Amino acid sequence: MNFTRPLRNRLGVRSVVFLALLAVVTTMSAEATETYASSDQSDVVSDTPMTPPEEHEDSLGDSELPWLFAVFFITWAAFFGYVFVMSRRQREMQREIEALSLALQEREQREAEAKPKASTTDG
Amino acid sequence: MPGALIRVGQWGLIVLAVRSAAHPLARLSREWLLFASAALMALTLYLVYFWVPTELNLGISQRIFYFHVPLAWLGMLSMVFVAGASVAYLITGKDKWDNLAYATAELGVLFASLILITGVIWARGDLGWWWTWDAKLTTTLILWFIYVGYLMIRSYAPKGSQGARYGAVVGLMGAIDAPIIYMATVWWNTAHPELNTGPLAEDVDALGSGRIYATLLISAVNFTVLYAYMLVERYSLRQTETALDELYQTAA
Repeated sequence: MNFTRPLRNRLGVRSVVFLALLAVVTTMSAEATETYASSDQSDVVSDTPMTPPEEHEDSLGDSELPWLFAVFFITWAAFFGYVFVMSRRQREMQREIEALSLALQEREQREAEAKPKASTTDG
Repeated sequence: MPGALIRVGQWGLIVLAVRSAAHPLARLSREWLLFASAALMALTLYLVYFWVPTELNLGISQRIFYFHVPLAWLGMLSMVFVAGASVAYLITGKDKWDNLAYATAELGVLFASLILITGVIWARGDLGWWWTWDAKLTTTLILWFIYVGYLMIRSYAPKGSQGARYGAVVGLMGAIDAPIIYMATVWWNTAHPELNTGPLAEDVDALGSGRIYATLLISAVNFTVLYAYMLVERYSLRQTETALDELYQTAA
């Protein structure tokens, strides 16, 4: 899957998996809206006796869907955001480690160059 | 002297590399956790949206329950982890316990925030209000403040063992809140539904259907696997952060 490589390189595998999940959530939410809209509500359960349709029609209607989707969206956005921040921090640290490693190498090189000079001056 | 410093630095880098690259087995288990949680999430979404029946009294918004309850369970679990790791740190003084406490506290903030947000939205959709100062909601808000307080103390306290000790004490004291939250509906009259999960659940029949139990169980397993993945990642990141801090201090 070469077309996903730039995305994977840019965001990392974890972020891509979370993005895919976010897409699945959104798609399923859209699907579910249609399902509820056309549902005959035959799968409704309750521990209380069934009430006439007009009494619970409102509670099963579209009015509650935005709340449901808001919860699912916020939860997934939060998880995605957290994992994204973690992977960004990981990359930053990787860069810090590389910079530190380079600085140490340069320092070691300078020290190695300074040693023979010092020994010739002493001699 | 500079040569010795360089050797210390190189030693530090080796430690860092070992810690950040992680053992292949640990890396493999992380990937498994990620893909397992992704697969379980797809299953949970299918169950929540298409398979589980709609609860008659609460309507469609009751489906928030399949996210809200597992989030609450993991928020509480975080508090237990923070307290356990804090005790272990105070006894042994080993950094790995402090790192675990820090990682779980950070996850605790995330989960406690989501408990509050999902609960508030559910209440608004179902009962018509956003917030009420009843015992369950208030103690959960206190839990959130404890986690945030823990992280603030860790940010402002001195680096090293002193800051870790302050954090451990706060983490330990915060654990008192977890059983209070769980028992709030038993001890006080609250607007929150009665206990229908956990060891003291009495109102289990109110859930009504075996499918509801099954969906809740799978959702709880799913979030627990996701939590485990995030914890392993955050713990490893925290270890690297600690090692990097030590390295900077040594080099400075």
